[in-house]
Amino acid sequence: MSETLLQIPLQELQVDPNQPRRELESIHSDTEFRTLQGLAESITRIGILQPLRVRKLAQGSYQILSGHRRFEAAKLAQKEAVPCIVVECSDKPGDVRLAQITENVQRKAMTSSELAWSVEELVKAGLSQAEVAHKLGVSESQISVLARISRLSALVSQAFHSGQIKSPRAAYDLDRLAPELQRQVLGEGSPDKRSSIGQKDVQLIKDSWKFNSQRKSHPFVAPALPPKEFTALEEALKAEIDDNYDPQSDLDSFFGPDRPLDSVQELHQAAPAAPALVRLPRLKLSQARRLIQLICYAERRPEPKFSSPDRDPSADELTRWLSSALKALR
Amino acid sequence: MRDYLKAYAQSRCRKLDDICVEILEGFMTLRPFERGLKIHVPMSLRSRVAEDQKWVQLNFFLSDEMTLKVNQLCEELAAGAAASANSHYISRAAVLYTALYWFVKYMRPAQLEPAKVDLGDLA
Repeated sequence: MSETLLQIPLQELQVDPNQPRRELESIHSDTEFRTLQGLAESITRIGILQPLRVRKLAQGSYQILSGHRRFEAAKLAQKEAVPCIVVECSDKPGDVRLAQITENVQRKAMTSSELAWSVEELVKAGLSQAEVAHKLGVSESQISVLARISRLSALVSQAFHSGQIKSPRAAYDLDRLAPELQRQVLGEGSPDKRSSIGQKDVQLIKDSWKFNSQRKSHPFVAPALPPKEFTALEEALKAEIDDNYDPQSDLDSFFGPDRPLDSVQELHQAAPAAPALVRLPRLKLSQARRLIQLICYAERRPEPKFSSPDRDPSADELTRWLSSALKALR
Repeated sequence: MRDYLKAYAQSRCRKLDDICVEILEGFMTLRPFERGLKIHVPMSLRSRVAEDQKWVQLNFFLSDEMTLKVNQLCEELAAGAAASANSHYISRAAVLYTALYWFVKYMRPAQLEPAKVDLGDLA
């Protein structure tokens, strides 16, 4: 099959009414229009990197095989001509359809994790998030979510990079929830751990928690601040006048009777509660094993047997064992 | 204080404005200022401190009904403090700041993040 690269004026290109890209039907929707606008901006700045694939029609014009979005975006960018690869293709509907889908089947999109890493590198290189968004032709909020991926908590980060969490937005939303809820969404400690978590799963738990948290409960664990921020807050609360005030009665009135976090417990009823984990520093496998040996030696108990004796224990198993052991030591 | 309240609101999946209104409602219902809590002047109004430490103002939206209640409370407190030397302290900003101060200092004090365990060189 011979191929020729040409600059073809837009008016000579025809859209295939039966093309397989169904999402282009919603071109008049706000979301699709914004995405196309991003692509158009990118085309204005750096041009079309990947030529469209077209076939010549009998009347002299060209029909687009792949590149419908690039074509629509080029129109938005008011380009006169676009680079096209003209391929020889018969008029048989089967051949046309095959040529249309081949490129999309062969293409492998970057994973969210790879994309997040690339954005992080760009931000590290000194570009602002707004600049990155502008250069890539995407919204600033998308870049803000991707940039946050590098600062995810260990639990969410592990789930995201292992592919358990599919979208960066889901990881971003999950990271903002309380650790108990994060463990619940991820199915930590539950026998049927979810293999795929989307934004809807996070939203569901978030809504459920929001509903339950309308009921105040006491004691409620206040957010823990890093030492620097904690000291700054303490400084801010230093008053010039002293209060002669006992908050105990107001605490009970404001937060209700003293009871455990019932709403979280209710949320956990579906799955067995995971033991609370003690935050551990990053350890090498050898370090973790040595630590386990030391704990067993100190407590004079046999070393634990993990699920598969032939293989190394998983990071999850080690964390769980060490957490419970360190908690008992406390 | 704003950052802490924001973190608190996030931990409860709520908006900062909603949490502030909740605090204000609690403050006006429980009336801790009648049991020893002094009215505190916001840092941004202590001119010298504000200039030195770059304090900024925290704004939040209140419904008309709530604004009316706050105004009434201010008037009530100002009338009560008229005789004292500190009557000039009473203002709407001071009452709102005191409500937030009361919550952050006494109702839900911040916790310090647990220090990381130094395990030394175990390799």
